[in-house]
Amino acid sequence: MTTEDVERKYSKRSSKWKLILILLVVALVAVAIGCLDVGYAPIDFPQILSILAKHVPFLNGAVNASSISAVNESIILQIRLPRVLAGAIVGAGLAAAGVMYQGVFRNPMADSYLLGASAGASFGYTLAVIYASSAVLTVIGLGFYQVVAFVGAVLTVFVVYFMSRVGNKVPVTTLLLSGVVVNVFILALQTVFELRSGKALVGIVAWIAGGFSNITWTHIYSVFPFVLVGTIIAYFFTRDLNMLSMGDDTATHLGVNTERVRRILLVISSLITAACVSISGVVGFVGLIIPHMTRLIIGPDHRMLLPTSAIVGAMFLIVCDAVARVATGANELPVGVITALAGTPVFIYLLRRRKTSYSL
Amino acid sequence: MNSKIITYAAVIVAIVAILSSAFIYVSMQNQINDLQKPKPSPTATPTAVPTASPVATSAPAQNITLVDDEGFVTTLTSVPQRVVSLAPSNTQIMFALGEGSKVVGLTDYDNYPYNFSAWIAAGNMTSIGGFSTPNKEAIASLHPDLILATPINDPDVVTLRSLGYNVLVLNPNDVRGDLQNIALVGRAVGAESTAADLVNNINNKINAITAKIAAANITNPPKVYYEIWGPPMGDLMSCGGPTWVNGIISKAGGVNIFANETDQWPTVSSETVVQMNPDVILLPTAMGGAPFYGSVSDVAARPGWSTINAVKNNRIVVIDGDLFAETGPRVAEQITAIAQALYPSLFNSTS
Repeated sequence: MTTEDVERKYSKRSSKWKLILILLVVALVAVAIGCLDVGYAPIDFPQILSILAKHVPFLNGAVNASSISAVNESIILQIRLPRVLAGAIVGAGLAAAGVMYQGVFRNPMADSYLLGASAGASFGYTLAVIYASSAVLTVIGLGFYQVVAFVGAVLTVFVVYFMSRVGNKVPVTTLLLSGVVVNVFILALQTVFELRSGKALVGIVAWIAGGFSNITWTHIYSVFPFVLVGTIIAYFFTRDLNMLSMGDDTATHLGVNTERVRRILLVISSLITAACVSISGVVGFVGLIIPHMTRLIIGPDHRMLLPTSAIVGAMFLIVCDAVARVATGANELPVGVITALAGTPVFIYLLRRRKTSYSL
Repeated sequence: MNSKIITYAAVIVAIVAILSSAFIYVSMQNQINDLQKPKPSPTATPTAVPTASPVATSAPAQNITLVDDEGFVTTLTSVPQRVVSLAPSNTQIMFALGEGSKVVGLTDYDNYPYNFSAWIAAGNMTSIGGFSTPNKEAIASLHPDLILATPINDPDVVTLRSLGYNVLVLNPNDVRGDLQNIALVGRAVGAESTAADLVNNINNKINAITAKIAAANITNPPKVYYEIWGPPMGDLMSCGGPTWVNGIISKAGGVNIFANETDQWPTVSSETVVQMNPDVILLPTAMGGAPFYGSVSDVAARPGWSTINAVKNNRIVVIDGDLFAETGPRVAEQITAIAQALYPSLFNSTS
């Protein structure tokens, strides 16, 4: 194959990629707006559209403000829209982090919680719930629980990381093992404190199951930058991830500084994960399954896998949260329950449909 | 080629980012407008809860300043007409004050003084979801001017306050706290004198019980084990010192064997119960009256429990779990029920 052949083949593929990405972004926006229609309070779709349009420059002139009820407007803009956006951001963040973890570890079992982010966040949250009254919360600020959960997640990941350092390197095996061990240890500590928490236990358990029922705009502002900037930076390392997938030695011969790439991607993905769990609780499954699902459809090239996984993850979590909102009347289900219930059958179907063997 | 893809992806991400930022910006403007309304100022230290005093609240322009059990100060500019209750105990207080008609939303677990599930099914009342998981949209659609919460709702309370709602958190840790809550809600909804009467009435009933016990000159008050939860459903759970149950047991002339526990609802070991050797075991049923513990003989047959005084003397008493699901305006009835269980000879003839 001449260089020209390769280039021709490549440009054909990349134009197909552009099309897929554009379609996915359009689908994401459509899903987000569609899911705004799903919720406990019955608000008809035209009214939702006019509420949205009223707040968009240029479009607001066309809206008859008197047709919008103030209660509905506050429900859509203050309660439901933040939830949909949070679903999109957390879904995208966890899926992108999952792609990075799986690529860095070359391990299909790796997910965004592998290095203890979820355990650390849950533990931080539990401590905050037990030892801080809402009076303290109001003084310190709305995001107190979130800040403590975030700090817990980041600290845990750093402990795991430094535990597994051997000299200047961080071998994958020690990292995986330390991750598993620290997860178990923190889970045990968590249980000790849960038993002391009395009635607050219900709240803690619900948070750990994951959900968006307490999302406000403040949460969106605090998490969006992490996910957006983190994913964009990670994108510039996707070529290196492709080479890493051929093995450390090959990658090194191709000029990749494997240690450095691994370290940078681990920091980025851990920060994204920590930011996500700090507002959503532990939403399982997205970081593990969405990258695999996308890989089965799109293929293993990380340059395509990262953005598509992020978008698919966002759509997936928006839809799951919409189901969680209405599945059982006024009582919400934890969104983590829905992600597992809905994601598993789809994933098994994809896995079985592709009869050939499957690798990263 | 490669750099083209990067540029392309970056452009798409940037477009999405700009769109979402525009959305966020616009909605933030909205929120800032909301925030410019006068807000209650928080205080860190809980101050004394105001007691009911006969001050007229009829003047419409008068602000009502309230301090809840977590020390949060709320100022109401008018008497609330639409109240959402996030806990059955709060609902009971509203109805006992004769202000039940102002309650527009409550939880799926409310069952006193009326069968609220039937009301909800018939469309006469709105459910706002579960006890620990209130549904924000359901609450917002009721546009309440006062929300009565408990500490289990703490994360929701923060969200609801940030959305601009007035929220009072009620957390009675003893009988006194319970009565203060009644007075506080009374002040909040403009039923101050009704609340004072109700509190007096309850106090009189309690005083009658304590006087009767005092007159009997009991030298050795019975040691009481109150079982919140237990086998076969799970580990033994009882109530510690800072709980309304503990307060009720001591008002009824008993000594809670776990009164020195600082945890509210400690998980306890079977051994400790045997060692503490309670004279009376109180078994509240689950809500609706179903016994979660099997039967009284199952409890007596637990390994090692045959040496406990309560088991030897047949003093295992089943009490109505619906009455004891939460405290509230029925506190005198609760104390009476426990006093009857502890001192059958003193109370059963008169009740």
